[in-house]
Amino acid sequence: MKRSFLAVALGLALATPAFAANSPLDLVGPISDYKIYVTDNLAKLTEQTQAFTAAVKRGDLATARKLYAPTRVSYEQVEPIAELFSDLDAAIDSREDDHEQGVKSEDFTGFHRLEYALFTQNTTEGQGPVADKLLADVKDLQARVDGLTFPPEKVVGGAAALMEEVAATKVSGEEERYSHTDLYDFQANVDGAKKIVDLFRPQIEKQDQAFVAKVDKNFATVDKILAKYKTKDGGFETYDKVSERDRKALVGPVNTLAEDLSTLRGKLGLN
Amino acid sequence: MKKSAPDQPNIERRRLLGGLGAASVALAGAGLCPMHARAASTAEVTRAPGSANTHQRQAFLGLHQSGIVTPRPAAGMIVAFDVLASDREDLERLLRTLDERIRFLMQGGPVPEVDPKLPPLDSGILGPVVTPDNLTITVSVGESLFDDRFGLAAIKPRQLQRMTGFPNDALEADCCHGDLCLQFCANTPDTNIHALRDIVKNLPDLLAIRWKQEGSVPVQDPPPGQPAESARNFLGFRDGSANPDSTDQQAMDRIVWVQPGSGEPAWASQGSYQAVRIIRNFVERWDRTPLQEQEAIFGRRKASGAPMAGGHETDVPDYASDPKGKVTPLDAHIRLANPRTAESQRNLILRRPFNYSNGVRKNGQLDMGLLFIAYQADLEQGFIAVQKRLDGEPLEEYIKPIGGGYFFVLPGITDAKDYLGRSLLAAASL
Amino acid sequence: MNHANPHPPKQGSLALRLAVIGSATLLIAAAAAFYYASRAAGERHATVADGEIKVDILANRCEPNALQVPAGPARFRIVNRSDRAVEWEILDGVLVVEERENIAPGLSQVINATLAPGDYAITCGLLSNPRGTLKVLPTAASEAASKAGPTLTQFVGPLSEYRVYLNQQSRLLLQGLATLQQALTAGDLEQARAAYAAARLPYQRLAATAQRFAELDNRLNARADYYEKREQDPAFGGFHRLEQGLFAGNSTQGLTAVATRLEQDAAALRDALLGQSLPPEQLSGNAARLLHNLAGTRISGEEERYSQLVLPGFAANLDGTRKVIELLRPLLGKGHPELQHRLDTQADAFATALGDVQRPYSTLSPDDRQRIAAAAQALADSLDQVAPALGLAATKTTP
Repeated sequence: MKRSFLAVALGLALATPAFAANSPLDLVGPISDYKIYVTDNLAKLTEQTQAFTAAVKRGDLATARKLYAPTRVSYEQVEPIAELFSDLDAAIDSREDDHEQGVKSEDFTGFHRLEYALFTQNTTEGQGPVADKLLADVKDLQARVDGLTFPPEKVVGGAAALMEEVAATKVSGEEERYSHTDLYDFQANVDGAKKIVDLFRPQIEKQDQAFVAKVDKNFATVDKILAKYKTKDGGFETYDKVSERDRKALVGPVNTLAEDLSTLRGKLGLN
Repeated sequence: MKKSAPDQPNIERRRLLGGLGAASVALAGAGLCPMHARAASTAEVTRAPGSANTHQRQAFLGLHQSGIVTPRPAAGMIVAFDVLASDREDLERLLRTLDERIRFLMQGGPVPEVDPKLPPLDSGILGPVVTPDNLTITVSVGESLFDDRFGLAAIKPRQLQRMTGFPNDALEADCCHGDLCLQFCANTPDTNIHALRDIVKNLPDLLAIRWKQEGSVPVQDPPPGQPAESARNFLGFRDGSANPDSTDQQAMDRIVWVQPGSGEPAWASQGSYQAVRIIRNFVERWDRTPLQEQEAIFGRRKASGAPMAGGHETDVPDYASDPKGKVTPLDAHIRLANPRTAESQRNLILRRPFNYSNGVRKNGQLDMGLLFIAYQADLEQGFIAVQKRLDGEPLEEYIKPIGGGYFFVLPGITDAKDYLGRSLLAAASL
Repeated sequence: MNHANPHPPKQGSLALRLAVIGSATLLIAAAAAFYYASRAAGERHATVADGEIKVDILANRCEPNALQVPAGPARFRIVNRSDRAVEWEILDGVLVVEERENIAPGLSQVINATLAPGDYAITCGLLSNPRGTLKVLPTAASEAASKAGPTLTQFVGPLSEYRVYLNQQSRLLLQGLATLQQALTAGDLEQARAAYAAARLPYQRLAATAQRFAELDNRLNARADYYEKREQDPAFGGFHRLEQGLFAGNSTQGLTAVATRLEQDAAALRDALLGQSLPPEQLSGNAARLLHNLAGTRISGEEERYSQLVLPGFAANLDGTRKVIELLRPLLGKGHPELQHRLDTQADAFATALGDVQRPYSTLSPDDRQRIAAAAQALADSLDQVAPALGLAATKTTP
């Protein structure tokens, strides 16, 4: 009898399950924090776009050129969310390659159309309508994001998406082909990815601490190289100033971050 | 222009042959009896790879041109040209010469020789005897051919139009459109290249290459006892699973071949609309995407090519019992392309694509993707309708169409004395 | 001197020694029991009870490795036929649904799992062994259950949006209080009154959730009655102290310190609201509680007795409620369209009952008030049905 009692007791002891998996509700904090981060960025974007387009419209070429790159930072930091609205993303951020007639295309609008005018044509002439449309589109984006319930997998997947952006267009200086202000965008994309990792850090660390350490290290390497090209006013040198050596040194960590961050959703049990 | 009719071997030619040097002996002798054992072993590394299939050939004559319902071989190439002819007479000369060259290349045979003081007539890539290697060359014409140059405007196929960009396109002018297009298909890429160089050499004043894209499909034997399966694309998925049966005459007449009385000009009967799209794949990004997501984007299981519910590649997915898209997402590629409703039955196309791999982009990423080729009797109801349904699909994150064009495949010729395109010119003269 | 026992045990250490001996005995007994149990289990592994699904873990695989069970409770008997201790897990993607660690060689373990329909993976001992599949088929019961409740993951979106809303309204509240402080410092009574009215709105939108932090909420919103000395009590502060000063005292005098304190408390409230992990049932539950309280108590208008700004407060409560209804729409709309419709209609009816919110509360007739209370009550009753409809544990929302 004692034997069977102890056997039962043992059975019960062994029957308690071990650790529970992450509850999905653990994601609520980080996801809402991320939406707050995005809406803050978009509020800043609207404010800065206002100032930028105002400079364009009053013909102040020098100020417009100065404001161009810093204004884009808020957009590039939250690009994966902006991209959820493909029509607005195309209107705000498409490049001349995306249009059959190139710079002459009527539907080539947004930041890069203004970039072309300001940095290649060296004029603000006739850009009033483009400027107005950009501001209207940015405000529209702000309103749409306000009403959007952020899908968890899009938030977490955004970190990888941002690194894909960097790998595809920033490492080679293809984004800002007229102004060569790619480093602003580069840093912004990286900061956006880092923000997402930081928000989900406690959850990811529970799964894989070594992974987090590796990701942090690669972010630090990228930051260190980019920091070499910072200017005194908190901006960046133009892309052509990046040495060949540094350009190559950025490729490895960027690609590795893209690879590693592509496993984030899986690690958090998201689709 | 030299005539290309194969000559009978004669003594003079053999002397020339002897005069061409040891290299040609080695080439001619390769695979036959080696003269010196030692010479054969040092040549082993560079010996030409063998094939049992170089003798395979496709028929040139037929109601329809070959290369459409012909089983697709491993190597393909699309070349688009600007036509340099200045008048209709020149255009005729172009078509006749093209016809002649195509017949020779698809038939195979010895290349005529010339005095060595002259440039050779043939590149020599395939040796002195051209092997057909299953070559087909399909001739199609673009909308721009029907401008004011040749007086063809009145007989332009009804839907032939200049390709305009869809929302996800980033069309590069350098690889779009063309007056004339040739589709080369063969067992090996070298056969295609040889054929292209032959045509270019024979038509220097009449054709200028606008753009070209080569492609291939992975060679794969089906598992023993299993039917053959669709070849895979560079995203690792089978491509063409839902293609209509190209051996089904009635289906092809309905889906692919322009029928008389369909509102197209009479000369166009038994031709077909050809949609070509050069679609870049962001392969690094794709390879970093969870398998589950890849399958949801396509709407198929990756390993088997079966629909999401499982089974075999050729099984038809049952969308009627899945109205909310829980099994196959509503925005999955195959579901958007073909929702399998009564209406969407009008939008069937015959796909015959190849995969391409070009080089490396400026950002260090691989430049590879799909050389999409589709045939249909009605361009608006076919490719254009399907692409419109696909606009905005999740797959767009990973692809970027950068080139291609819309062309009209000339009807075939059944009479050996006829030439490709004669009916087009004849119709213009009426 | 007692040499026989140089270290006489004290009371405590005797107990300790006994405890040590006791636990040693237990340990030995446990080891014996373990030995016996493992022997017994080893002998029994061939016999499987009725309804148990047997899985053998071999050195390099499971047998069977493709299982199929109906949804609901299932019993798996895992037999370790390899020569290493293994664990067995049911995985939903990367999430572990059920597991048993350390199944000793030769032992079997029974695992009970209640599974929802879907495709799962099962591990088969060594990490290098291929995984098996477990297909859980829907049953009539599981279909009914799935209609009743969304998965926890489906609440993540609404809860995140609500947290963003709390952040947004908290920000507006702090901004409103900053504006109020400016007006007080400037001594501008008109402006201060307007700022007070404006700042009450985000507070009332948050009120449903804020009230869960009773102590903090009291510092912001307690009425004079709660204090011993009522209006004269030095502890009386927060909104209603300001209200009293501005609308009864008709002066901005002496209020800046109160306003500063209120700003600090509002900041603490924001931190508390964002720091909490709101359970899904409280989304509707908090709103229901607030409206019950409105219908039963706050309908008296006592809350804004000096300013008479009762109706704008009620309207802001409704704003906050509508936000919750909106966020739950995707979840309710699917399985409970009638409840969804009722919530919408009753929210509209409440708005209608409020009428023109600018009129001072004293101008409302008892009938008017009754209509408002009834409308609030009806909406609250419907909100009470949300949690059970969504398969959540209902919370008590009425006293």
